Amino acid sequence: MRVLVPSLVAVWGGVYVHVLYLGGVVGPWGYLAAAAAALAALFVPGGRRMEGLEALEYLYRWRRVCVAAAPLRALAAAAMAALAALSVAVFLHPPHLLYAEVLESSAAGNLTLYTVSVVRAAPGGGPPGEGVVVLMVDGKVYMPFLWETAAFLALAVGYTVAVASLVAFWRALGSSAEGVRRALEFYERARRLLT
Amino acid sequence: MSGRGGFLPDVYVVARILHALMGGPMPRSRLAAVARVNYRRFQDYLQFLVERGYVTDGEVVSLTPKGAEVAAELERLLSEVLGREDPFEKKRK
Repeated sequence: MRVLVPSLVAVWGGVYVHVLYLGGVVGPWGYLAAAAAALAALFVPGGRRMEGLEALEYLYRWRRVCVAAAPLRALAAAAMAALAALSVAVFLHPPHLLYAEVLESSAAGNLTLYTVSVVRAAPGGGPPGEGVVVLMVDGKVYMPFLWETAAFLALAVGYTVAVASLVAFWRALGSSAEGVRRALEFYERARRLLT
Repeated sequence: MSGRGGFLPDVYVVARILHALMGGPMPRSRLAAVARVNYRRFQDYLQFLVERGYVTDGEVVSLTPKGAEVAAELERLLSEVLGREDPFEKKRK
């Protein structure tokens, strides 16, 4: 369960880094940071051993997720491995983008001719070589389809949906786990005692 | 568990407070730290416990005889719930 929140942060962090890259805020090294975050999420330091009232409280608070812990861990490991691999792949072959502002357009037969001015290249700092042209018309950015964007979004949305479904599915079975059942029993009996 | 004016006390926080007070009276600030709630929230808990006659609130907070009974009962309940053998463990043996 400790890996749940960091892994969700990591997958959406991957999307965020990608958006920052497209915006020219970070260079390809941002993807390397995303890969490192994915691996770090898998190795969140272990919690201390709990017992007594503290252990029951923990089980009670996390009762909806406790019994789903093993499948969630496996799912998180798969998602983090996929995120790390994707980030490293994009770091090695980052998309080359050329942001061109349309200054003027004119029609010539079936063709539309644009007069453009290149405003920015990603990654910056050098000639982009062959790249994808991103047109900017009247302040609107027409971003073409990039498999990198699709992959980061698919991973983030897919993982979030999978985690939510798993937690929802196990919610009904939560009380069947012995530890959780005891935590619920203590809660109910203590509540009756105190009121 | 309903409280006064929409305050819904958490059983585990109340249990933590009563358990801590079994060791003797404690100053409010230390008890708030034990309860692991912010001080404002802790005051709600304290008022809840005072209203039910479980604790007295003065220079230090201490258990009343009624509160000591409830705390002992909670301890017994905790031992009972935790002390039972896990049926799954039993099956595996």
